[in-house]
Amino acid sequence: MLAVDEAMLAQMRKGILEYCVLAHLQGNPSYGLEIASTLGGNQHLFSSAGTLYPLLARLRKQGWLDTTWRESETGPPRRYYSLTPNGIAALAAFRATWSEFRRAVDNSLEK
Amino acid sequence: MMTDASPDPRALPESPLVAVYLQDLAHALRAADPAERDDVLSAVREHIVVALQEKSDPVTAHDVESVLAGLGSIDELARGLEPDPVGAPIPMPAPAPGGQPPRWPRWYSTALLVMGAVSIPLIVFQPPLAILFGLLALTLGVAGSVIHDKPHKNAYRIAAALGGFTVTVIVVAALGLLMVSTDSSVTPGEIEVTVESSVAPVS
Repeated sequence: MLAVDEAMLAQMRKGILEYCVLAHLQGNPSYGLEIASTLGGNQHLFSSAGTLYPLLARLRKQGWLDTTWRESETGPPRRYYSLTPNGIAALAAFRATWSEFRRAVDNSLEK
Repeated sequence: MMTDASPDPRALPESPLVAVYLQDLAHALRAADPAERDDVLSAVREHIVVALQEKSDPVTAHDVESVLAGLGSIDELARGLEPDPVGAPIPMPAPAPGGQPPRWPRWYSTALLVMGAVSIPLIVFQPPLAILFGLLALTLGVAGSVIHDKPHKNAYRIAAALGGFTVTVIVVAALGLLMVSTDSSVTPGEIEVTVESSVAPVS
């Protein structure tokens, strides 16, 4: 198996990872550690959990995510991230574009 | 559920490592947007608290190191708030030398200038045509000067000034003529008096 090229992955994540976070949160509001644990299980998406938080802050700033505090039965209150209507629309637009983009890339690589 | 405005009730464990990590992170993010910086610091702090809470009790130094290692390097984290050239807004093209291109065809301003200039001599020879040209040069010149930038704006301004001059002269002349004709008009009563005084009585 080929070693993962971290620099190449870092380039590929740009512009894509945020939509993976949006997709994870669609219909499933989560707190930071939960998102990091789920998406971070795949090393292709996250190099480290810390990179998630600047991304969440940017998505929140551009109005795609909203946050609320919820009590936890096992510890301190947690900040839950959820999609706003703008976030839902952005994810839908990405999904529509991504299928064509992926097909084009696959076709190029199969030649 | 609590609102987002609720005070953060979480307490960090007494760990110099955590304190130093957050301090270094705050320093690395010092150039970031303050709202985003606070958001990231708060979220990372929460991550540490929740992650340590899931560890063994009491929390050991090894647990803290493990959680901080999972967050990754501070430099890598801070790079996440740097402007992304890929997602950055597309810069607007630089304006062409000489300002923005005209919104109307270039010959509009030339035609209006000619119309405004020609309207002046026409005041004497063809007043109706002069007022028509003057009004066109004035109104279109004003409109053109509003929606154009320099240097095209100046051509429209001059056309408007020429048209305005023609319109003003004609209006003033028309008012003058009206006043003169009003002063020289004779009422029927005056005519009657004149006739009576000029006719000799018949004996």
